[in-house]
Amino acid sequence: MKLVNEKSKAGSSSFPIKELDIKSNIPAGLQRTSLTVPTLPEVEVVRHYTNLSKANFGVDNGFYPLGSCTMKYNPKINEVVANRPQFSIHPLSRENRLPLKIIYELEKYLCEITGMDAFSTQPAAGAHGELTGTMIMKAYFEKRGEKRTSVIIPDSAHGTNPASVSLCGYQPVQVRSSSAGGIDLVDLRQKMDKTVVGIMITNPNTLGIFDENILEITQIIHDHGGLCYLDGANMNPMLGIVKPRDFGIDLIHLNLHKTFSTPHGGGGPGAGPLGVIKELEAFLPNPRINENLEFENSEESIGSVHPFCGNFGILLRAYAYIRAIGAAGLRKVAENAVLNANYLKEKLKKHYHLQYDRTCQHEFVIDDSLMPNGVTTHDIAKRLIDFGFHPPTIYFPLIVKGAMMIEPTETETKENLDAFIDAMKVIKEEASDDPQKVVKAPLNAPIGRLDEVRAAREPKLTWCRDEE
Amino acid sequence: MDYIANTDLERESMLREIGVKKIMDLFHDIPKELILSTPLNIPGPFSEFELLSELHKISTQNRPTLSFLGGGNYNHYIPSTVKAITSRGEFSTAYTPYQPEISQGTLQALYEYQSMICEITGMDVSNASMYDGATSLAEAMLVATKIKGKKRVLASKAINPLYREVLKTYANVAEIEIREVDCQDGLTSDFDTEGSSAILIQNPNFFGLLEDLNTIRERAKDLLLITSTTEPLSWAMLQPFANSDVDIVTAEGQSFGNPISFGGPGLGIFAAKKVYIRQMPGRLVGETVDIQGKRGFVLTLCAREQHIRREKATSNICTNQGLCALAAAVYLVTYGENLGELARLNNQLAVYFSEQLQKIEGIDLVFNAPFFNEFIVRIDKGILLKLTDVEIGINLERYYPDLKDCYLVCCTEMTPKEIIDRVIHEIGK
Repeated sequence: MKLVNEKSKAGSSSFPIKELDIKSNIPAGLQRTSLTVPTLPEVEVVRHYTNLSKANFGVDNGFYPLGSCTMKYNPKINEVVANRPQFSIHPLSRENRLPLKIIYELEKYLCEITGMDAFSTQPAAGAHGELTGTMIMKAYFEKRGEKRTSVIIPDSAHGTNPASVSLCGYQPVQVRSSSAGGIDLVDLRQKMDKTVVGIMITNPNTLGIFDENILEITQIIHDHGGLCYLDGANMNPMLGIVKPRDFGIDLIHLNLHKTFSTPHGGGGPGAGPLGVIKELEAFLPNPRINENLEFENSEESIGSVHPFCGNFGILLRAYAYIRAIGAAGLRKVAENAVLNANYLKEKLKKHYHLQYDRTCQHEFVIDDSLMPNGVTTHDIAKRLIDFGFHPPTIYFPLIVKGAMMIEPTETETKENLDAFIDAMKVIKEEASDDPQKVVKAPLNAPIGRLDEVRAAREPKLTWCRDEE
Repeated sequence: MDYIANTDLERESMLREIGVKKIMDLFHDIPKELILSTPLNIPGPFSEFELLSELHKISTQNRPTLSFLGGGNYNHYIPSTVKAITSRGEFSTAYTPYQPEISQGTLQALYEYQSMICEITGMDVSNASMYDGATSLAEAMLVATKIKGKKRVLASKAINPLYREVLKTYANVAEIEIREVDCQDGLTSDFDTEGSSAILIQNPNFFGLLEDLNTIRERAKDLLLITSTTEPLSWAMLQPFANSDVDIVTAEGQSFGNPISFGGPGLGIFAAKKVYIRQMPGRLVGETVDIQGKRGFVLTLCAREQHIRREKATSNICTNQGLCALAAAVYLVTYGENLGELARLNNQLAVYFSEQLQKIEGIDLVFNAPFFNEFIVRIDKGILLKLTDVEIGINLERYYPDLKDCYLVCCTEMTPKEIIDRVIHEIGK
């Protein structure tokens, strides 16, 4: 499809501006002499982007079992709420009680769900929450006069975990997974000592396993004075079932764009509020909101990580979601997410290799080791597109070779799950009978398999005028 | 209300297939004593109607005001095309485009966004967005110290004070020293470059004034010059940053088609010279071809990123502000080349308002340098009392104790001449 730059036609904008007869105060030397912005009449603007949207796939289009991303249905009422003109409030307006009330209440809900004592809504995404949490752990040990230099991270962790801790000058130390898929306690005991800040753990982990030794794990960390950070990307199966605080978590971020149904936007905006226990509250980003709906600063705060209160528009959607479904609804989310995942797993393991064959929570990981004719996970993913499904997360977690990480979420119907199972079965058959079909896939997508190596070798990141 | 799709009957049949009796059997890995025995203390469930009525009720607690607030967030008109496009589920409910064959919509739109940012700023490369203007500037600071190897940066005091707070937080954990550069008459004054990696300048600066970037560039010979902009509409009127040899351009792109929304979500803009491509944080969309040779787009140079490089990544950023970048792109294309006129209109309204205000006894313009759409006035307290329904500007004293009784006033196309005249009339009463 043509680029908007290639369609541009000077003088065609439907948005004329009536300037005033007032002389600018800006000297001519500072003003630009020409401006190029692609210009189209309104109808062509709308058609361009509408046609682009047809080459995209969202949860609204179909099943999107992207593991660890919790691609659940995004209720439309959330959008109605977030788009109310009353919320288009300047962050420095004196009339700020309404947004502050909503943020304050949302913080309370998140405390109740996780068992934490206090939340900050400043972090704009999950990785931002991890960074903020690591900053807090650093401030905590600095205050105690303890010099600690590393953070333990399981080998099944999301890539953001090591990246976030290293931004704070900490060395990530990898702890092995056991053959059962949890953390290897022997390895953990060996690596934990008083030079270690603590652990950044994902539980249920990226294999979808709730670590049955979780209490022991957090105890080992606490015994050495360390802190336990939970990457809350996988909070969905714990809603109303178990509170992370109860298994020894000291800090947690939540991805509102996963668990709390806010749309992912093709890569954001999300929100990654951070919760902590009482002992760490004073270190949370400034400012906080107190019960009188006023801003309050703490002297021990790490400072701010966002100029205002974070992605308020996203907080609003999560607030609407939590209230819409209530306590009972939250628990149903967890139950049905886990039911759907186990159903899929049991059906798929008849055809695909399941390295960790045990009950899962919200997701599970199969792989391509049983595939004939050299057909890989990459091929399976591309072929799924032809069947009208978004592929799972692939080649992650790194501890399973050729991983396909599948998270159906609670909002999928049994019919959709069955159709996905059928497609996976057919692909397995094709791999042995007609492998070319799979290796060449996708065959029915808006575009064929793309050459990613070439894109990286000769990066072309902008359209140039001389292409015309 | 809930959004669960299956019926009780279906649940039963699924449990049978799994081979367990009840759903709670699937949670047997959780230590028994941890399973909650009472429901969470959360209100609801509420129907859509109940949700909206409640919101309507609490909305009345907020009195709408006529606002001249800017200083980082700007009240601009958003053409109807923007919401019409960004609310399409194909865009809004998609994930980060890891599977390019079914994400060409997002990818091409972001590629076009990157191209537009480069055309307007004159820079070589733009990433596909960061969280917001403040973290974008903070990431640029981190990049600069890695490139230059010196753990100190200079930062103008005319950078938005809230952004400087975020900078300090990032600098603190990265063990970077920020040396603040004073201002004279509202503009960044002279500085000593010894031992620093970069100088950070906001333009137009927090006081609304235009910095002399060419002179700063000359003084900062061996340093990276990093700019921050909170009102990128100004770009449509001003010389592109590339003309002042700026190394990294960062900005808050909210002005381009994104609502104010109490300060977030915003749009972090990050653009740089080509030589820094491999040090850049965030997603980059690049052009390539499919197996038939047809043009297509993919996320590229991922070897910089956390999901590949883990602790050695250039940044920890993963989720960014994709939909806000899409909104910016639709906004820019809708105005097209008329964006320059929109920028001039904003400037004209600010000039007009500042001239009218100065005519009033008890109101003075504080700085004389050229500004874009924001300026600072000192206002006698008595006059302020007359403006009960107007927020005339941001009170600067809390950030700059010297600027007592001073307000940063912002004009946009949403505060047209008639509104300005009405306020002037009210003050004159």
